[in-house]
Amino acid sequence: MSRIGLFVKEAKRWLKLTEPVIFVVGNESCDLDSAVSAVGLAYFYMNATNVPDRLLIDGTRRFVPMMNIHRTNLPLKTEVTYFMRDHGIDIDDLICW
Amino acid sequence: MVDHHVATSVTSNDRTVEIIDHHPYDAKNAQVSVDCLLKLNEVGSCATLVADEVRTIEKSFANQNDLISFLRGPIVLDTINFSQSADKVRPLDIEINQEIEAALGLKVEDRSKLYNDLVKARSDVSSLSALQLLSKDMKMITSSDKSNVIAIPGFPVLVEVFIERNGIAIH
Repeated sequence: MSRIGLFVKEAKRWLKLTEPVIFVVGNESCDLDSAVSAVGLAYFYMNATNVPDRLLIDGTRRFVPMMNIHRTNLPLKTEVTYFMRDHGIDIDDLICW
Repeated sequence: MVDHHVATSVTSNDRTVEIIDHHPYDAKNAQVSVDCLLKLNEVGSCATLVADEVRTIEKSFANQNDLISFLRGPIVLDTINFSQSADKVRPLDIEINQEIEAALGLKVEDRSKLYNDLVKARSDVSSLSALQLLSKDMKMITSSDKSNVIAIPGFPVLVEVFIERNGIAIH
C-alpha cells in the first residue's frame, strides 16, 4: 500500500474517535477531479511543512477526505476506483455517506 | 470544499473554513461565510489548484512524487490531455503539469498513455451489475408541474445486446 493509501486508511480510523476533524469534500458527481482533489489536499495538509492556523483544531491537524456520494455509488465511478487502486489506495477505506 | 463552492447536503457554509474550486462563481447559490477562505480560479482542473497550493506552501514539488503523480491524473483527464480545441485547459494547468513532469522525469508521450488509460477506465463497465449499469449515467426528468419524474438510464451498449448477453426474459 502507498503512503497516500496508508493515510486514507488512518483517516478512516479517526472517524471512530470522538476527536473533531476537518473534512475535505468534493462535489456530488464525485468524478476523478473531486475525488483526487479531496484525498490529495487532505494528504498534503497532513504532511505540509506548515498550514495556516485557521486549519488547526486545538493546534492539531486532522484532515479527512470524503467522497460526496453514497457508498453504493462509488463502484459506478470506474475511473475513480481504477485510479485510486493504481495509486495504492484501498477503495473500501474511502469515506462516503 | 474542493471542486465546488455551493454547499450540498453534507456541508454547511458556517462550518466551511476553506474552498478551492475552478468553477465559475455561482452568485445566485453561493453563500460563502466571511470566515471562509475562498480560492476560485477558472482553470481546467481543481487538482491544478491543489498542486498550486502545494507549490506555494512548499516552494517546489521536490520530495512529493507520490502526491504530484496523484494530482496529475485529473489534470490530464479534465483538460482532455491539454487539447486546445476542447478549450478546457488554461495556462496554469499547463504550467503546473510541466513542473510536475519535470519533477517526475516524465516525457510528453507519457501523457497520452495516462489519458487513454483513464478514458478507458471511465467507460469500462465490465465489473458492473445490471442495476449499476442502469444507474451509472442515469438522468432524472421532472415534468414542468413537478407531478411526474422519469428516470432515463444511459446504456453504454445497445439494449438488445445487453438483454441477449444477460439472458433477461422480456415481459
